[in-house]
Amino acid sequence: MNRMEDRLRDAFGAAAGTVRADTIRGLPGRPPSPPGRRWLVPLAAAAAVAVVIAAVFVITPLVLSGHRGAATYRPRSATSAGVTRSPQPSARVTVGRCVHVTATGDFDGDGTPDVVTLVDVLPAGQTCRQDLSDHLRIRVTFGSGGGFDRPFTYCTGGACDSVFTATDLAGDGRSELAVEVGPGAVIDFVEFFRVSRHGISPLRIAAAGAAKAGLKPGPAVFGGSQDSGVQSPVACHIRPDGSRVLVSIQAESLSSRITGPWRVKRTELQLRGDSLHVVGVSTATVRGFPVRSLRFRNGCP
Amino acid sequence: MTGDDPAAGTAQPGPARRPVAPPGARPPDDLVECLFRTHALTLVRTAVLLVGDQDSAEDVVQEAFLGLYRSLARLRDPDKALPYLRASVLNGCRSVLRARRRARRRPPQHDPPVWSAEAAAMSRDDTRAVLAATTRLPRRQREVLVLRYYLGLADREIADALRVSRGTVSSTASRALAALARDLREEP
Repeated sequence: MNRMEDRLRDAFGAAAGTVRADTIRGLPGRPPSPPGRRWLVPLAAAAAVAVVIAAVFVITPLVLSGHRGAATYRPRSATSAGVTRSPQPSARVTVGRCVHVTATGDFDGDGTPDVVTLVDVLPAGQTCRQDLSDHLRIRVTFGSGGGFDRPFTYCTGGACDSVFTATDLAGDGRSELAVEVGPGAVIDFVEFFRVSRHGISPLRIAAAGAAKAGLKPGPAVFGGSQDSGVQSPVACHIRPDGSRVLVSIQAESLSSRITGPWRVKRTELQLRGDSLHVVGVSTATVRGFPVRSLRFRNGCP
Repeated sequence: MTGDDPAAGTAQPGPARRPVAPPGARPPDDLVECLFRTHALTLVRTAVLLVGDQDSAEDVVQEAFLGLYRSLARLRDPDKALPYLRASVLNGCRSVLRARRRARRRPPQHDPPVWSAEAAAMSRDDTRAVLAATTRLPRRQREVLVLRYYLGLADREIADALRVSRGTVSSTASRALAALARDLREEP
């Protein structure tokens, strides 16, 4: 039993150690309602209800009837009472720009938060839609002033808004932008971008070691199939020593059953400058791999 | 952000014996801030072991501290604050797990649990079998194991947190260890 207890302590310690002090949120703000006066809330609500009732049943009839003293209520039409009906809401709203998704991070590394917005530009008269058009633009506003607004041509298949987040792959305080670029629900890629004052451009996968990892040198595109037989999640992971790696996983079921076993090929990459360098490749066989829709796990906020 | 050791990644049980607040800490806000600095990381880690992912665990701990703020006026003994937080975290974890059971048909929005194969592939360790086995235990057995073997609480403190008797804690832990040993095919 002692060995079991030791194994438990080891397992709990290892799993708990994945939570680092510098990644957890700070102390929540004190709630606005003072603890000792919580009875004020229901009292205020009751008072508000009483005022509304008085307004509906006493004051409004007096006003509508025009009597100064008598409180007899005579219903009148809205028009005759001098009440103007509010216009019916339009079924279509004409806009030209639809904000689809926004990410906040320190993209220029100056310590102020910057905002990156993906905007869908539609011809006048069209309404904003859930799916994206081919006229996407990216709008960047830097916290210290300035920014840019450019076409964004990397999205395919109407994707781009399910993963659109800032991540710090190098741990240098400068954010990179992770975007799910499509093209679809089953085959899906995540691409990483550098956002600077000069514009937005993809990070690059360095050539060294890429072939061994099954990656293509060039734009930093990861992922692939996401179905019951192949899973290709990508994650940013902080190691116990504080260094950060981008982990690209290609998991393939070795049997016809979803429970596996699965062969998991794991590639670790480190960001140096604007290039991702392969620093480790390993393959393992595991039982059970969760078939899921999580393309990118942002463990490096 | 907190006073816990961020590199405590290998078998470091939680600092259960730390003082609740240093002498001279004035309630109420000083107390809450001190408790947060000293125990937030440990509480988040404890919640991670129960709910499986950091986002949900942090939500639970944040709610627990908000609840502590609201209850400060009724808290006469500052030493009761930490047991209150532990009980809040346990209750919050139960709520999260209940909500997940209800939403099982929806695709998961939380990170993969620490006991999943995906997480094992990420962290490259072999503790997944033990963690996965604990997830198959009844809820109370799992809570007792986490409180005893991660937080390092005494049976009396566990009994306070779970509002059961000490005897129940002992028997629950014993049954849980036996079940784990059977599950992992280890000699008891």
